[in-house]
Amino acid sequence: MKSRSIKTAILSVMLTLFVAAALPSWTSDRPPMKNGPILTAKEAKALIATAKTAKEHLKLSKYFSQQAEEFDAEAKDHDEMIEAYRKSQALGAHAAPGGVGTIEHCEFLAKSDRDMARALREMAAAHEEMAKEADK
Amino acid sequence: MSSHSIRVAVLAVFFLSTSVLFVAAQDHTMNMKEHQLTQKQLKALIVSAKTPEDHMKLAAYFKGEAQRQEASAKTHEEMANLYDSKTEMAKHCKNLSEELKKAGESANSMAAEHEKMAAQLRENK
Repeated sequence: MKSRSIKTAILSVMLTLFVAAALPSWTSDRPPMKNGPILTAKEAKALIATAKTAKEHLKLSKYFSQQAEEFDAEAKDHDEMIEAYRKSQALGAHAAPGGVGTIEHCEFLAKSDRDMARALREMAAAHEEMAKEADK
Repeated sequence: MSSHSIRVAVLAVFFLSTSVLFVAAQDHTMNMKEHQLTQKQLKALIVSAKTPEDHMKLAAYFKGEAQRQEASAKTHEEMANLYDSKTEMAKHCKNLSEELKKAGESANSMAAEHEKMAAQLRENK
């Protein structure tokens, strides 16, 4: 009886902790990075300054690829925001001027995100090349 | 009640209150984060915004976005200085930094647009 009560108490505590730990990811609607970011910005800067081995260059390549993926996701978000602003204008929610301005800004941001994603992919590819060179 | 049952009860209360505190702390952190709007909430608010408060919420979101872009621009500027200045990598980092600065300005402009909308709605009241 006693051991059963203890087991129940432990189980309920574990369940509560699991729910609490999972809450932030359940409330976020953007899929998290697979296994989290490979490097923080600070770590990336330090590695850029010191990278010599193939492994280090591949790590930087992965870092820039992840950043590119983030910008691709942001471009998609900005595309959806354009649709939302168009919908809001159609509904007459924005009586005040500025509706068109916000759409233009979103269009600029979506294009900018895609340009940045492309540049980051090129950086990732360059580090992959450096990794190959380091292997020789 | 045996002393063992009391111990179990105390333990259960201790763990449950720890869990409640843990949840409250996470909730607080989430509120501090990203101006309290997920992408889904943001898009829904863009469509439905009618009150000055709605527009001020959107303005706060875009101001936060601008700060994020500015911080990222600074990071890429620092990265550019770490690469050999003549390389493509340094150029990429500089371009990214410039692009992020422009994105930050754009996000600030969006915040200003929503502040304007909020002010106009207040005037019309």
